[in-house]
Amino acid sequence: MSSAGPDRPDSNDRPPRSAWGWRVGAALWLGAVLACAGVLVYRIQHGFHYETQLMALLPGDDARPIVTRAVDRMASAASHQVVILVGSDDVKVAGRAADACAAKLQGQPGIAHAVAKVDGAFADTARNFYLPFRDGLLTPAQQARLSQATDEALVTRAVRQIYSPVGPPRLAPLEDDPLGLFSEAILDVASRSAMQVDGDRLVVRDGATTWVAVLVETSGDDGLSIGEQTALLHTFDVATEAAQAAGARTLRAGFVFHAAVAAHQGQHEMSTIGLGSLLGIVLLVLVVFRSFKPLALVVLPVAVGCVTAVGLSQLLFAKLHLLTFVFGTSIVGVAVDYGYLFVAGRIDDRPWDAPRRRREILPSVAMALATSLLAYAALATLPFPILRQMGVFTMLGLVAAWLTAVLWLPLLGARLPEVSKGGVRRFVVAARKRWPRVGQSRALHAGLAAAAVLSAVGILRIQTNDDVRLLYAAVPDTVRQQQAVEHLMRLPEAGQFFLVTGDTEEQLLQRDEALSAKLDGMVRGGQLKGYESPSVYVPSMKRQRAARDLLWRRVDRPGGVADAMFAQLGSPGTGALTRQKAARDAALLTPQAWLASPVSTPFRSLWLGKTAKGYANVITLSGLQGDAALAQLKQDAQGLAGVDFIDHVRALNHLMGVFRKKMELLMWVGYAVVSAFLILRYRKRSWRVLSPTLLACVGTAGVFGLLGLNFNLFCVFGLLLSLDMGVDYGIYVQDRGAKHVDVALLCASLAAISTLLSFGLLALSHTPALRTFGLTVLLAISGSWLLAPCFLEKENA
Amino acid sequence: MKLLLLLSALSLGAAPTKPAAPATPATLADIQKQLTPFQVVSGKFTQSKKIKIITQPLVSSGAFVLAKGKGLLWHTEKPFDATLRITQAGIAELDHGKVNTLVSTQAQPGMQQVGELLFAVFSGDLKALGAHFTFDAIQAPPGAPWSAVLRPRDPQVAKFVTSIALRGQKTMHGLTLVEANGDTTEIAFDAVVVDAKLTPAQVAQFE
Repeated sequence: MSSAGPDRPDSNDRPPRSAWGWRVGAALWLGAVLACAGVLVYRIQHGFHYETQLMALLPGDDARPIVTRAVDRMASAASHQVVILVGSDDVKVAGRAADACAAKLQGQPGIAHAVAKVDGAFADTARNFYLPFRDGLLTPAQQARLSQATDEALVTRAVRQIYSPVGPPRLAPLEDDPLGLFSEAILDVASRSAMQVDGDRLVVRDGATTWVAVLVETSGDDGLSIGEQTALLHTFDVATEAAQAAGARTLRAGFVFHAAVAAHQGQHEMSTIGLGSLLGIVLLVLVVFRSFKPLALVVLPVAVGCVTAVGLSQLLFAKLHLLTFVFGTSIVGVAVDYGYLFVAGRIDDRPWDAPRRRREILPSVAMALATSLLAYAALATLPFPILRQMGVFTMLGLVAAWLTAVLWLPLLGARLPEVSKGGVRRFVVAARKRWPRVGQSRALHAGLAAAAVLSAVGILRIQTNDDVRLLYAAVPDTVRQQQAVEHLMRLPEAGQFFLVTGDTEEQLLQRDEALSAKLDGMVRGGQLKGYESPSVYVPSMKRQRAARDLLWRRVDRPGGVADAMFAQLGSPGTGALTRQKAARDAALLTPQAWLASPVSTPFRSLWLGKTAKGYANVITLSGLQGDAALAQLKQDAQGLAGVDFIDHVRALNHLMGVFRKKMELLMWVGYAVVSAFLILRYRKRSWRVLSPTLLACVGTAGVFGLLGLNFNLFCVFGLLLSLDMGVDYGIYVQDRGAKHVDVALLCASLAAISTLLSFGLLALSHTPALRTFGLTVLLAISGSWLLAPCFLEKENA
Repeated sequence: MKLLLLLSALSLGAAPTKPAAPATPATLADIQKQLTPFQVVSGKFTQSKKIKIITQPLVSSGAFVLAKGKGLLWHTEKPFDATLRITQAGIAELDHGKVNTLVSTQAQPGMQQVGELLFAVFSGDLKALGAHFTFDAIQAPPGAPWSAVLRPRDPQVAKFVTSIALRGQKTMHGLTLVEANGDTTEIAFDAVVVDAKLTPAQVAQFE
């Protein structure tokens, strides 16, 4: 809300000292603006980088830095990976298409590597790496079988397996692995992945379709510049088109697509909203003032505000998110009011005196700035980096625009051309006279009553949605492809995982194993598709020793299962050979050895290693089946030491909900303060000032409820901002004497139309959160503006 | 592919290859024309497996039935009684009505084509096998017994399988699998009946 009416009696004798003060201020401000512009130019020349990955700007878990580290680790591991699935009913077609796709990617800028063929030797690498440790690597199922089955059953099973004409390949010589346990364990581990090695291809089959994976890693550490991102997206488009030209279908997944699409859209939105609202303002000012100078004066604060906001926030924030810029375009709609208020004084019948005009509007614009800053500051205080950025960015822009209006406009606008008082003014007068009034128009009363009832119904039906994903610009096709790939490849759930900690690596792995046992149960029960845990690949020392002892006791010792088996095969001497080759005293597999080998490459992001308190790793989940499974998961985790279930997205959503409620509270406080202020100032007339905005905000909430639109943090913020701006219109219109009411109406209309333009365009954003924000302000401001004349007193008419 | 090729390769077994003296290279089509197409084929088998560290060959024998679109039942009668069922779903052991799944295609999607490949091997469908193997075909006069030696195209498979020799005339007579580690498996088919009817018991076993 802004404030005191600018209409004070003139005082023509200004002390020159004050004039000098203003001039010095203007000069200082010029220096500051030039410095900001310099920063901006420097940044643009050195590649204008911004963050497009929202994860980087969502809050971490401050209380548990290790959680933040785990989330960051997983996000950064995923951020450079791109998967393109190339599918066809004919494996050969898919393979050729995948080659064509990879060929278009290899060596391109921004692509670290792209492979359509996997090194067939990888399977050998894994086999050769694990072979010396084989006796310690029994799976839990194998350990159970060896502990429980009789010698006879084990021998029968082994003999039949040897005679069998079909079966899994034998990965170790018979004497090294008489029961085929090593082969079985390796294949068991291999089958954890949805992707299968098919010759030199990595494939996943879905019905008749075989999808061949093209694995791509993008280069570049931090956010890409706009140009780089567009180029990268183009490279991927060319590659997928090449695959399609070769007769295959494609699906692709990776942060880069979301980021590139978001960047593309963000840029598009920034320019649409920015340019669109500027263009609207230009037209508006030209129509009303029919002269270019007022236009320049109105646009200048906005331009300076934008430059300063971008320049200064580059210095304040390490990573500026694109959403901040899109959100920041609302600076245009708010800041333009300062210029309007200044030049609108020219419509007055008095001779033009720029410094006097400044004195007149100073209380108004100071109040307007203060209240706007308060609203945005409320947003900036929330411990959500992205919201903080948005708030601070806009505040910087508003302060800069305000300083420009106050310090420069009186100097630059010392002379202003006469304004034609013809058409527009006549139109305003005519509109005001015909506008329905409260206390006069029955139709208006009926309309307001109906709107009130509908709004009440709507508000009761409001559905809140605090999903943090509302901040993501969702492009249906990109999301569909991502989900298809995630489903086919059984990729882990984003932001839902177990964090396991232990004092030592050994304790950590033992805790992993305890949790894995529970997860195995859920996989068998169909509640979970799969999980990844380091302990599957590197069992604890305790488990390895137990496995080795068990294997010796049951199989390799003299008179054990191996001896019995070879005797039955008619080769009784061979058991001794097996015994001789038993890897009983070989070294155990350590996490260090595993991490140092290429076999751990896909899983290294799970291993967090040394932390402040000990060791930690992550267990990821895939294909969690519904909320019941989630509840089961949480319950399972509760009884286990050192195991925490982290549901990052849900925690963030919860946080968003908390913030929304805080913002709601703030909104009520805002209304109370504004009402108190208005009552003090306007006494009995205060309801006429407040009602338009109040009704508009209630109506807006009602529309959200009736249409079933998601009501979120940004809606509440929009309502707060609308209160701030909307009350101004009531003040302009009510504050002035009857002779100026048309100037006031014109001023309010200019401000409202500009605001509607910039926020209305924001309502077209692809980011759901910004869309609802824009829509909220659009509705509430339209209402405040259109209702304001309804509450004019009769004598004003 | 490795796994399933190996499975199918192991399923081949073999008859000793006896290259006919006046050998003339046969074309795929020649051999294909000669084989009788079928929906169900059944017969007896004798398998002899030679493993390097085992002092004597492991000989087993029994009956098999292969049904197109269903799979293979491999009933070993000697030296023990056991039935293996190889289908699209995987490999299972049938033990007096109990089904013990040994390999499931759900866990090993690569297994899905095993049924088709097995069928290709048993029906001598060299065209289908040609995708994964190179082969030399040898044939005496037209209509006489033929043999074909298959070698895996995929070097990863070649690490396990050196060659598979198929032998047949109107039906398959047998096969020999030579593994890279020197182990060999020979399977000879006997009393082969083409287009036999599945017995109700066999139908039940496939379900």
